Amino acid sequence: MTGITPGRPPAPDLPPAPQTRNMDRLDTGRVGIGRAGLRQRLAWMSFKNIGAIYVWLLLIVVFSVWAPDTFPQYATVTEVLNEDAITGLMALALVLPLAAGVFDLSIGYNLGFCNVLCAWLLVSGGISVPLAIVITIAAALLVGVMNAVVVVIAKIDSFIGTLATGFLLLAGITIVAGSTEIVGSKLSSGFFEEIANSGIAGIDYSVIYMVVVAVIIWIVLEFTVAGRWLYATGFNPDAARLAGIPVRRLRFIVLLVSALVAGGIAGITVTSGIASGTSTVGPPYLLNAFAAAFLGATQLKQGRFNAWGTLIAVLMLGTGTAGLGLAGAPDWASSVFTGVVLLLALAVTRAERSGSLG
Amino acid sequence: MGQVAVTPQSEIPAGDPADRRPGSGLRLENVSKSFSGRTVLRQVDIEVRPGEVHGLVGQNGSGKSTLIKVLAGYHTPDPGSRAWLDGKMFELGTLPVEHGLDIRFVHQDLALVLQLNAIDNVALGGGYVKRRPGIIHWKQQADLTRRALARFGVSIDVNIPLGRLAPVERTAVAIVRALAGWEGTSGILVLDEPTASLPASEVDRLHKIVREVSQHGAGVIYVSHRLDDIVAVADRISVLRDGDLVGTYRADQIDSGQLASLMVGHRVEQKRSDYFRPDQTSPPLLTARGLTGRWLEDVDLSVWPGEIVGIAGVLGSGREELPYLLASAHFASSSGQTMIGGKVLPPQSPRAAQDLGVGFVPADRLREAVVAPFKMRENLTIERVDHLATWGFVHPDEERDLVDHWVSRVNVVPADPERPLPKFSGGNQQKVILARVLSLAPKVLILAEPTAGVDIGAREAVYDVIRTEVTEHRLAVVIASSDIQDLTALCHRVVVLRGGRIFCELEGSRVTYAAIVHATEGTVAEESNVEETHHDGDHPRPAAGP
Repeated sequence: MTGITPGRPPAPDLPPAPQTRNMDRLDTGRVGIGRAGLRQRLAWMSFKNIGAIYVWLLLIVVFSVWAPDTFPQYATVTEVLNEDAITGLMALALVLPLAAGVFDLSIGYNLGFCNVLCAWLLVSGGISVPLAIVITIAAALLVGVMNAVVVVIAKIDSFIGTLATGFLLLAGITIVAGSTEIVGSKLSSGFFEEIANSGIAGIDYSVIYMVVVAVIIWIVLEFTVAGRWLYATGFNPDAARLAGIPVRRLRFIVLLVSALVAGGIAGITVTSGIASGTSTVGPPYLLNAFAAAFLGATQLKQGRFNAWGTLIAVLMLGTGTAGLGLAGAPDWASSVFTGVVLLLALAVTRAERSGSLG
Repeated sequence: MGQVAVTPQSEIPAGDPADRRPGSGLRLENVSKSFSGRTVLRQVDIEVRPGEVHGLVGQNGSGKSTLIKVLAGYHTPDPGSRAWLDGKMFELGTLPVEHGLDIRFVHQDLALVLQLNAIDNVALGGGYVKRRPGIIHWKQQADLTRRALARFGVSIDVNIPLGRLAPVERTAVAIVRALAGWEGTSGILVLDEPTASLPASEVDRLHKIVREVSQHGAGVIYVSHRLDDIVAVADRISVLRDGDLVGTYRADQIDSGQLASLMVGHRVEQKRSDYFRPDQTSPPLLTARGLTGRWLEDVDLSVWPGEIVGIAGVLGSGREELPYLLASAHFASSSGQTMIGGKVLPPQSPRAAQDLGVGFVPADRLREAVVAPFKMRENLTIERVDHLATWGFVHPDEERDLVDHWVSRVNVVPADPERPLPKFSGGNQQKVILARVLSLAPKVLILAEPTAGVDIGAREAVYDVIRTEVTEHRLAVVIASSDIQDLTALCHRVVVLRGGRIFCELEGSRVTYAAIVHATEGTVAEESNVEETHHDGDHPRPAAGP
């Protein structure tokens, strides 16, 4: 059970300790740094900051007691990781748009569209695997352009705009797949089959993709100018615009990114994972992805949407779901669990925030 | 009572105490209010009679809005403050409705829902007429609304959203809503700056409505910055200055010029240290020609290196709009041309303005400048962070150096860059925003309301930052402020706007508190007053008529 920490404690996320660099402040600073560092480390460990990790650990203990034969196994670790890789990718797709203050509600349909498109291209289109992948990624980006045009250029509220484009994608899914499932030997064998399914020590490649995407998003948000500007855009678009930040360009780009991650990366991976193109695959991921992204924003960065918080949320929720399944809880229990955790997380952070501001 | 505070500078007779009917209307006695030891309202006595329109005037900081807030129950006054309505004593500092008191308020922003029509907006105040429980009687409700509006001579389509009505018609709806359920024979209606957003052509219509209300027997308290407006509509006018009631005067025996003098009083004009003399031999850094926007009409402006130019004017004069046009930060369309150092500034592009060397501090700090949960460091460097990066990656050391440099230069307290900026005081927030703009080494600095929400003690610090930068880097600075102190403390020259146009310019020693108040608010007297200042002043500039 000690194995269930693949999300890694996100130590690099720790904000740099304030350093006193002015010469005249060095004397007093030397004593202060140690104390401030300790205080900061304690603040980082607080329930407010990494509550989801504590809940996660608690879940592991509870399920290990509840289902001692099935839960504390290495197989559980790989199951949670492999099962949640697509949800993780979908949640990560949302991090950049949400950081910049735009919703992308079309990601579930985008995933579904790219799934059936990719399967159709391989099975009915009869084209090579690399070409099918390239076309699927291009289609995903086109969806992103459509979203960006609607939201940034036509200035339609992103919540409504991407809901609408989602319906257009739903039409696309029906056109490509109808109500049948697209299956074929090309999907379930050879190189394409390996994209999601093979891996290292029982962990699928899809998990690796998820971690790679998380690392990239983390680097962008934490260390680059773009990250700083994305957050500023999301927190206060008026101030961002007046500060000369290219608000519209940033929002355009993040909608391309979310489409690329959801449709391109997650879409192709899920097609390989289930070895079929199915019209019902995409939409159910939407709610889970949003739940994880919002829960993730309450973690580590105090209200900022961030990659590691999101991954922790995905895996914590996934652990709960898997544990409930192994413990023989009824089917509805995992949805109740996700809903309750999300409500509690937001209630706790809200309470803390209003408390601290008096 | 009967407030006959004869002040030395006025020979104007106060209201005749004989015609007051004790026991009716609103009486405020000995009302004081202090905030943490600082008195902002000192033993004020005011009486508002039934059927009277009672004007209330005073500069920023005169205690005018505090008095209104005390009456509205928003502030609790100091002990010893007493109040009566229609002979009945009541406790100030509580919501009037809680005591069944007929004191109603129409605030400056009107608090209307512009997407809804007049019927709904009025019903939000007074409730709906119901056919049965839960079922609204729309026809009757519409009739009721129409009749209520007709009472004040307003006839509008009550079924269209308020957003499509004229501003004065919206004000009328707000008044009708405030008066919902009103008996019509007594009570007090408070109108806070009702003409602030009205074009001059609609002010007369509002005056008719207000008189209609008072003729039904209500007392009206009418707060306004436009003195000619007050003189035209009010029966009596109370003047507040620095928390004191200067006196109550009959409107037919006073003019706006005299009122302005009363508001200013015998103010000791601040001694301005002439820290820098602008060099007007070189070409101006900023030149604006024919600026026209929502409020402004054909405004020209030139600012030379090292010069601080103030923009004065009442709400609606274009004073709020001008800095946004100069910084290319506006949304609405505009015309005219701004040149920065000889280059044309493209409209509606803060980024382009920044690239041409324009630094801009917007008026509403919390909404337009502070990025709320961001740390002080992130807030300070947000405009410059792309200069501190290679391949898009921010250099943490360079960023920290820059922050340390500016934190000590503008003296932010506490000097903790990792503390969220919203946790700092208003003055320190403003210093950080100034540092943010100054760190780009601008040539032109545009400041809107630079000391709004900055407490008195921190003001001088903000002034010092501005002075130092101007002196050391010979910036061209424009300061638009509703706070005249900002202008007298900093400006070499003040441009006074009225009705969207330049009314006059004050320069050098003529930049005084009194002169600015007269030029922005008085009508009759400003001629004579400006004349007066001509004598002691140097080279007068011809004042363009309104």
